[in-house]
Amino acid sequence: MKGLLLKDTYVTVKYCKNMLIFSLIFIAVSFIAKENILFMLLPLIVSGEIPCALLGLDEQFKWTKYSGALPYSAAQIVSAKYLFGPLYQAFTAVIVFIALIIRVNTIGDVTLLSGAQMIGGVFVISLILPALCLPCCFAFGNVKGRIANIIVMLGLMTVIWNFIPEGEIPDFTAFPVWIVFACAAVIYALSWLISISVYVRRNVKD
Amino acid sequence: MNALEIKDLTKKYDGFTLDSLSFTLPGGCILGLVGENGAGKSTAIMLILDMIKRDGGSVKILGRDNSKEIRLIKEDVGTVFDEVGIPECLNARQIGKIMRGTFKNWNADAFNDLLKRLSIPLDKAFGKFSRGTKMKLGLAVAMSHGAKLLLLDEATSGLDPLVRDEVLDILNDFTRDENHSVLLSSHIVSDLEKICDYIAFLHKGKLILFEEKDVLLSEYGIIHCTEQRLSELDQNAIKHKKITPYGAEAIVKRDAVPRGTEISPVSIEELFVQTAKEETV
Repeated sequence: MKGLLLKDTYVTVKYCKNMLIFSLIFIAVSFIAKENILFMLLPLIVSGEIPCALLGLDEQFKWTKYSGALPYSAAQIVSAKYLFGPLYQAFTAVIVFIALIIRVNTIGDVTLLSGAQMIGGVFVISLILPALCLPCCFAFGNVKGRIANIIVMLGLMTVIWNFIPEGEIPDFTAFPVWIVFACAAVIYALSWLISISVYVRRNVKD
Repeated sequence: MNALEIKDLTKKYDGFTLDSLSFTLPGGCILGLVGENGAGKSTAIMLILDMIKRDGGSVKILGRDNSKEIRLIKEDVGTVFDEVGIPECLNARQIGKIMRGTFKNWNADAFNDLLKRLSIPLDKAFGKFSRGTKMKLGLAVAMSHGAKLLLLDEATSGLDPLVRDEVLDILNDFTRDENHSVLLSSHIVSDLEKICDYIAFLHKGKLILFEEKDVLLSEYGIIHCTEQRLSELDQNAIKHKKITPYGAEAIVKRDAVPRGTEISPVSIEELFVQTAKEETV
């Protein structure tokens, strides 16, 4: 598995460095547009895209097929993406947190605690995004998988809007932080297991 | 020990079936898997590696069942696909580090020696290599972790003659150790004829011939004669005939034609093409 994580690191450094540059631009913009802290948090949401982007590159380079000939189990191939994602997100969260400290001490429009809570909340969202996308991509390949992911998201939203009465949608921001994190972790773990299961069943052709 | 034992291996897709493939590759030998595009060569290799689910049959690699111990088995197998599968941004140095974290028996010295021998630059990105160099790097990886069996899927196609020859030399060197074996699939039959000990003809998903190369070449030959002379021969001796206004040409079984008949050597390519045509008819 070490080899898979190292490969993803090299590929991220090479192909996703633009993402890092844009993240720094977003943070800079958040300092210029003083009242808009959202720009500072955007890099965290974007970082949730990394695992699916890496999977797309794997397919493009035929690594998906090649890795099948290496001594890795299907579970390890899937797990590498599920481990690398949060590692990259944590790295981005550290950068955003440093920006927050600077903001607290310069602009001062947010406290360290409330800023940290916002970072935590967005970190959870950035975990949920790949948790929804990865099983679709592992099952159908990157292109079809992303389409399937959009259909799943639209389906979920339709259910929420049409079948849950207004006022009964729980306000997650009112929950204790640890419950929100625990829910996200459970969703992420379930997604991980589903991805392993679908990848084992998939016939890798290219 | 046999490097590969395949029995009744079957895989069904819509419109294509790899049908009851059976053959054995003895240790220390090179087997050429010949077949037209879409004959099932890549499917066979992916089934051997348990990368796709089989619909029937069994595969033993180096005496071990591939459905039970495939991860351990892959430590002893080096694979090169027609498109090697390495991300284009990586250089040989990074690939070495990745493989050190992948194979238990990764031998960095052997890898570096092979890179030197094959003139592969250490710091140039894989995507900037020529197809030949990409293939050589794939081979270097496959041969640097103590593999006992190499599986090469169309590894020589698209290479210029000089690089192809170099690759074939490397494979020849590899099989000097009697524990080392190679399965090489290709539709460039002349490559296989140069180095293979065994030849398997795969046509439309069926194994139509599996034989030692030398036996094939000694069993069959080509005669050039008149149409009249050809009609006088035992028709069972004739595998294929072509009659033109200038005379007749036929692939014949050497031991079934009268002594004294002038017989020229037949190439594996001619044999494959005619055998495949026979099967199609």
